[in-house]
Amino acid sequence: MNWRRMLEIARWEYLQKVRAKSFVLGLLLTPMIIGFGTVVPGMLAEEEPEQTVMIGLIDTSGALYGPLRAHLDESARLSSGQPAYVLANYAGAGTPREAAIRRADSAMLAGTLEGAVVDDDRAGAVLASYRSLNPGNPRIVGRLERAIETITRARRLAEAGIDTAQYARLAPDVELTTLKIDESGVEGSSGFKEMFFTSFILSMLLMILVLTTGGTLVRSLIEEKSNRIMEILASSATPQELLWGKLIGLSGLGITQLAAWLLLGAIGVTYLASGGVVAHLGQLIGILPLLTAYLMLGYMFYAAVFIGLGSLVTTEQEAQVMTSYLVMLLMTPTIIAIGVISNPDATWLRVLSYIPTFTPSLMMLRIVTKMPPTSEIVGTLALMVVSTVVLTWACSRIFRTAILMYGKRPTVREVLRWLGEA
Amino acid sequence: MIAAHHLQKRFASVHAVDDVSLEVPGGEIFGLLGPNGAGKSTTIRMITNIIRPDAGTITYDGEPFSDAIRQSIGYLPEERGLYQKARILETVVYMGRLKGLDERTARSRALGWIDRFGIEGSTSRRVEELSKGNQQKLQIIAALLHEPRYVIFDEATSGLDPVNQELLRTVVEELRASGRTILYSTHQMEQAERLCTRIALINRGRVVLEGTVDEVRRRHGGNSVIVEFAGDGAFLKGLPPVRWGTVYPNYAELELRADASLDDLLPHLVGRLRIGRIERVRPTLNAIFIDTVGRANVPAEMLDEQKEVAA
Repeated sequence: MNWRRMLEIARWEYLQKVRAKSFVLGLLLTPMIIGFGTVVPGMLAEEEPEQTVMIGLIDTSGALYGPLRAHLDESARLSSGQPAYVLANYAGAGTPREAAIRRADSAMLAGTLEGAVVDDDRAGAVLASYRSLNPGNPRIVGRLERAIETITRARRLAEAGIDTAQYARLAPDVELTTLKIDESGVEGSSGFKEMFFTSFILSMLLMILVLTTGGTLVRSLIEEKSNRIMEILASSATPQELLWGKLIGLSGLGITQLAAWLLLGAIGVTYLASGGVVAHLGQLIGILPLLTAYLMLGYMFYAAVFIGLGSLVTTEQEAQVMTSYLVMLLMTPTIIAIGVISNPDATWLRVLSYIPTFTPSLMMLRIVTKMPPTSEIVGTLALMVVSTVVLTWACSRIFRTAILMYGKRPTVREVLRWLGEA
Repeated sequence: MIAAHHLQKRFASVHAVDDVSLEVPGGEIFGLLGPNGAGKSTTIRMITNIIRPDAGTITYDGEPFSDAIRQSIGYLPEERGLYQKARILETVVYMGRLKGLDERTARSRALGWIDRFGIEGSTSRRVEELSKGNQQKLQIIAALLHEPRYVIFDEATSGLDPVNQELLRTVVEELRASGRTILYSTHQMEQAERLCTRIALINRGRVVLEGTVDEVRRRHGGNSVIVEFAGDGAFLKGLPPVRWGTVYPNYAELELRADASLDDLLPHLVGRLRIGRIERVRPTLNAIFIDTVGRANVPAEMLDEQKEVAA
């Protein structure tokens, strides 16, 4: 192995790919998408409407209008101080229920009415229904639901002769604070949501990292094969030098991406996050080296897979098929993440943790949730190192033959034979 | 001198190279000839150590292949391309770096070649912005940047326009004059006749002819006749003194039987064609090749190609 030449190849691979538009875009867009995807829906759901919304009420009993209007006036105001909701009663004295509903519906179609609450004739769990062109608006539905619930409760309490203030005092308001403890005796607060989120982000990170850089690698392998640049490369360097050059260049790419995301994340946390999130991230610092070890090993493992399989494909279409299978493998731990958090010591999880394709994601999930026994950490790390080395060896065998095959995709039997060849 | 002895290479069902031996001396342009699929590229890929022979040996000035030899080979593969998104200069420099040049030398030599080959404009443009001809020049530069001792060109002129073919011919001639060992593979016989001093003809994985171009011609004295005519010449191929021939609308190349002469041919033509010219010629390498392997064994494209050339 000529080290200088191998590093030259690594440098070229890194520089060519780090400058590619797709890489730069992925670098910036991925955190933005994750950020938007997690923050924005929450923000939208909480926010009051910006304009006063007209809600119709079809209340044949006449009992709901007054309390509902009072409740909405009191609890929901726009930032300008105007009421957020205006209630219009469509069932005045003597108007038949059906006719009132029809009138409300046509007002909705005309755009003057956002929706209408229809009082239910029957007594029961469903006290009213809400009809609208857009009944899925969680903000309005939630607001109305809570309002009607409060009003109905007050009415029922009154009917039963219980004082509302007394009820409020008696009604329990339970919220368990979750505390995560570990062997060091430090206790930190860590809710299910934070835990799930962290674990989820970590396996997503590995997946995106592998897919973006792996995808870039496979595309460049296809280019080298279809352009026959491979012929020049193969006459200038050994397959081992090419393979390791590409692996190192690719790892550099992964590290760059990770570093950029960490930086963006740090900036994001500094400016945006609440104290709780910062405290939660603080807890991660201690286990960061371990997480990084799994992340990097997982990355190297999949990078070898990409190089081995990538050298076999000759077209973009084949590459996409291959990538979609790898996505499935990478996604599996994310899908079972909930299972990990609810029962991190389950036997099936411990067994799955020893399967190299799942090891990194599952162990990262488990470490964040509940630190697994040291023996398992050492065991999985060792197995991961061994399987990465073996896989890289196998992939280099495939690589050195496959890169010189153009046009025709080799059969499984041929690939197995290459593995045996000296 | 590159010396290959008894090379064998078998792919799953094809015996691509079957006992090929070549000696490519320094200071000569050695033409490796043969139709597509004859085994030329496989032979070259073994010489460049891209694939290993199943059997046989290759030495370079007496030495077996080594990393030093790898760095002294300049190789222009048959089908070729470049990184389309990479910059012009950095691409060539990278290829030179892989061959062991330091950055500065690679850069200054590359600029020299780019200037000589008349590739104009900024060298920090992307390769894809270059015309096809200029991309081919860039590939030639990349193959020669490290001043290789062994130069191996596989179908080097395919796709080059006449001006660039001439440029390449000049460069190859310069390399020969400076004593490099040059292996030049092509399926275009006329080109080999003009360029090469020594040839080996391969068909179906075997060497069927070898020697200097003159030797080969002399050995195959041949009995070739060219007839230019007006009229329908289709019958010419079937005449008794003709062994085989290729007939074009106004022109025919005929190979006569060894004991036949022009006198035997002429009576058959009189009155049937208006003859413009009739001449005994030295056989072309193409004719010699067809004669050697037998018409039945000649790939159709070789016969077709002859028509294209004449047309």
